[in-house]
Amino acid sequence: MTKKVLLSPLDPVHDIGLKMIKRGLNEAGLETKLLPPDTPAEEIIRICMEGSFDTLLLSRTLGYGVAELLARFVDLADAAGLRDNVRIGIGGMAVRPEIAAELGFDAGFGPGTTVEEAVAFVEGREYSPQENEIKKEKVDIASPYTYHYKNQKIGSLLEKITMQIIAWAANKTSPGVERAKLRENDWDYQAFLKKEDDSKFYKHYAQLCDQIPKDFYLKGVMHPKTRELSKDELISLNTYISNMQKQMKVKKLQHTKKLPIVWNQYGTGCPFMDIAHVKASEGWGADGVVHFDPSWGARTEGFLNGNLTHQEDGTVITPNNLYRIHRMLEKSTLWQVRAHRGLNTAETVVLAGKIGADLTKINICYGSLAAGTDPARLTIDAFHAIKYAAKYKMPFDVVTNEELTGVPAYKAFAGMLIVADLAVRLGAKPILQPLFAFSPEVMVSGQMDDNYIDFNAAKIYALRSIVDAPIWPGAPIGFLTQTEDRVQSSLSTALHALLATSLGVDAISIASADEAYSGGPISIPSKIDTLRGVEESFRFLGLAGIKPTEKAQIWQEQMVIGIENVLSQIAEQGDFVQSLYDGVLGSKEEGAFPGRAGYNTVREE
Amino acid sequence: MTDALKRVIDALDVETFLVCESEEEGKKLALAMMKNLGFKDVDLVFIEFIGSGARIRARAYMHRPGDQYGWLFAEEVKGND
Amino acid sequence: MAVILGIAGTAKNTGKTTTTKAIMDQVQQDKNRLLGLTSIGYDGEDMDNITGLPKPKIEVWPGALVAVAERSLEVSSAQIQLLEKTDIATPLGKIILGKVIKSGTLLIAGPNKSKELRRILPLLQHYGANFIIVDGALNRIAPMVEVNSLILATGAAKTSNLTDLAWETKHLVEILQYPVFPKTENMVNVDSILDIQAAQRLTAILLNNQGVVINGVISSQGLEYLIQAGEELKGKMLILPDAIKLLVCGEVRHIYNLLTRLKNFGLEIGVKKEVRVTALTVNPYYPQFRFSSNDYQAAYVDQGLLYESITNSVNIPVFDIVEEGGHKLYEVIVEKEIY
Repeated sequence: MTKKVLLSPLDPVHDIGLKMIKRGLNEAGLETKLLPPDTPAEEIIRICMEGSFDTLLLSRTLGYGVAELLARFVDLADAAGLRDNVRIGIGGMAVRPEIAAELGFDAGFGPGTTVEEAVAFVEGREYSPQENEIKKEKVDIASPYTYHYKNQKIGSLLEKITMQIIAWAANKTSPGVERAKLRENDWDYQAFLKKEDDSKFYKHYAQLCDQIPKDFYLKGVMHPKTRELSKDELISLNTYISNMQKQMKVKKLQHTKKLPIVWNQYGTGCPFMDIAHVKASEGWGADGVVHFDPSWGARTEGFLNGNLTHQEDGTVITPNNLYRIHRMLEKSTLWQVRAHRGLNTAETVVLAGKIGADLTKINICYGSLAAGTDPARLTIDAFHAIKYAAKYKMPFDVVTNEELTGVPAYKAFAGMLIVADLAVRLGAKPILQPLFAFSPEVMVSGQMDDNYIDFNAAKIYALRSIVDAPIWPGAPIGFLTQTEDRVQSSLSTALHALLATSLGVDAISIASADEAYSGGPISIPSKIDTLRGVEESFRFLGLAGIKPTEKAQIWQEQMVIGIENVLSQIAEQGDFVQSLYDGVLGSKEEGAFPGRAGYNTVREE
Repeated sequence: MTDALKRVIDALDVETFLVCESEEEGKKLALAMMKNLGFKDVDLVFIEFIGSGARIRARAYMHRPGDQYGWLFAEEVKGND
Repeated sequence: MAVILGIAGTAKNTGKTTTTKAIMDQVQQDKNRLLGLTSIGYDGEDMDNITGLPKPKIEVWPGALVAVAERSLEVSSAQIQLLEKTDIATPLGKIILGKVIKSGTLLIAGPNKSKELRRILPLLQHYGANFIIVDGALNRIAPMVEVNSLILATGAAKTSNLTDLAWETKHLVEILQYPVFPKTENMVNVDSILDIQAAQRLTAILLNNQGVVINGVISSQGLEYLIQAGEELKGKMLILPDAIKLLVCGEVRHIYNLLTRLKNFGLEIGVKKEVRVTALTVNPYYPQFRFSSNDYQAAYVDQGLLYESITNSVNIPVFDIVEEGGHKLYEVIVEKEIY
């Protein structure tokens, strides 16, 4: 039998909450009747009894003398015999189960009561708070895509280029590739967890490293910038984590659209502070977190070991640090460990894969043109890194940060598409990462003089017209639009999130409100600021959209032509690595300089 | 009130994140923190507790409307006092 | 037979908990008595800020039996052995029957309606309790129809105007002492009178019959309508299940005035079941609002005057528990036990 629910607001006017609950109950197939505000108690009870209702839901804001008034209602209902068959719930501001119990109600519903909670009460089911807890699951944004080319001309140019890269890479190796191989074959994560003796591994490993890691392993010399966390600190951290995890909850930022998922970075320099940052990100709704390592880590051959902290940007990659951070992630949180740019690219992927990362980050062009690594060296290291990413089933984004030095978007995109095409051929799942940024290109050429929408939209339209692949604007969105003012900064991030949602992308990376502040580490409140802002932007937009002007279309077409031209040039030349040195994918005039780290370290096998 | 605080036009907000076990504890800590800082007329403007702690905005009023405003009579601020 | 004692307050802060504790002390000393303890909700003052639950103020001792909601054990220091878990749901979880195995404080949050209390009382007796205390909650009284002896806690917290308090208490007790009319076979039975239409039907039936039994309540509006029949009500009988059904319909003074006018017309008003008010306790304390600081501070009326004015208004024993303890009150309760 359908349950009948009578709803009655006891407030003189406020009945919005009950109206919302009523709608939910109706949708759940229950029969409802809502009485006008301020119906006298006797009348409510009479209607409830005569109408054979099963449940009575009242609402009333608590205030002075209201408790007595509600208790009197309960008394009257009891004396009239209503409570023999009808269960009565009370809802309203400040109502809590404890107060409902005191007043004699069967249930109390405070602010934030869900419809499910009310339905459970009406249906007489025991309500477990878990029902109310947000269920979050990891989203695999790459899986829906085929990577088929819609622009056949670009598709065939890319095929030609990547086949050449594969042929070039076939007989080459580097210290980074060798370390990755060693880490892959001789380092066992389970053995690490069991604290088994690994001195033999590190003795061999040290031979493949630069002086600093070598001294660390062979002579026990600490890296000058780092310190080892003490045993006391580690023990206290465990207590902190176990206490906190019991009460950990996660928010969901998305509203009616399921995408984009939202990424936050961390990398405070200290794995402990990272954990605090990650827990705040998770709590306030980030779907994924990105591990940032220090820039010197990318220029040093080999990783260190142990629980290391330091006071610079980026947290040192060591097995212990990654393990500790990974261990305290919520089950629903995606974890990305960046490999993209340096001398440890291949080994980072192996280590991250073994420890359990979900995604990584690789881009040969950015890394060699704007992050200081020798093009040949990064090509061979990234080639292997991509193969490991495929093996460990880690999709990776191909970030186009070379735009920030002044490389025009079409050139950065050409490079990104080459890496993506190579990845697909090697069995991996690349994710395109165009920047949503106020880049030097647009500052000089004026594409953002009027608005931040058209040029960013053009980027998405261009990529969509070329290939069916996941798109994840970053990193972070709105880069170089933010100032030190947290309201401006959070709003700018939120507005870019709005644009990203409207364009239907799969993921976004967002900065904290401290993005433009360079005087010290970013703070947790500043992280929460932008997460809240983005949450509100999703709520604001829903399924509606933003309409770019006709400029977006024009710039899209120009971008595609530019990409085609760059790819034709490289395909014609027949040497991808050489074209990096030659500036085809970003020239010195555009601020792109082929890196020197790892120069002359590529060997033929 | 120090000379510098006299120049606060109306209120001083403290925005931070407190490690705590519940919203209730967060509220208590926030108000205790403001009292520890030496403020008397304090309130909690906003709190949101999730899991590891609470995002808060605590407020101390230096001058409520109708008060005698320190900044009307303020002299030059001299260092730390 | 067991004593089933209800303790109800006429308002918050009228000393209900003090009365409960004083009686419990006496029960503990009485070798012939095994305590059973429950409530019709709980006393929500003095919240524990962390848990949101009130700090328990009542101490229980090994052997005592309790019927409380599961979650009340969270904030209790007493150790309770589970005897039985009922399916009676409250906002604080299911009601459980338990036996105290280690002394400590206990938050007494029990079943909150008559129907459920009716199920719990025999269960407490089944496990051996022969002195059951049903603690009140706020100003609620309806479930107290299930007890066989009622203590009312009143005092300055209800109103600090002693004249008003005396009148109100007098009326309250008088209504509770309305006569019992056990024979109702020839009378017409009707359901609760909650609106004018029902009151019209009631009046019509009453005028054509010797008496009416209302199986429920009659609203003050219903009583007002009935008054219009005036002298025609003479000799007729109006019966309610118990006197509490009269009390829940409005302010005591208003109800009392309406009932008195009906009685003056010659209508006989009675009940089927007695709610025995055994004694009153009075408390001079009241929370006084301070406008300067926007909060309350403790205040007291003259204890002697309070005691005297209440004693003079009622025909049942009155106690100031803080002043004289629970010994005499306990004697009255046990003496009155005539079942």
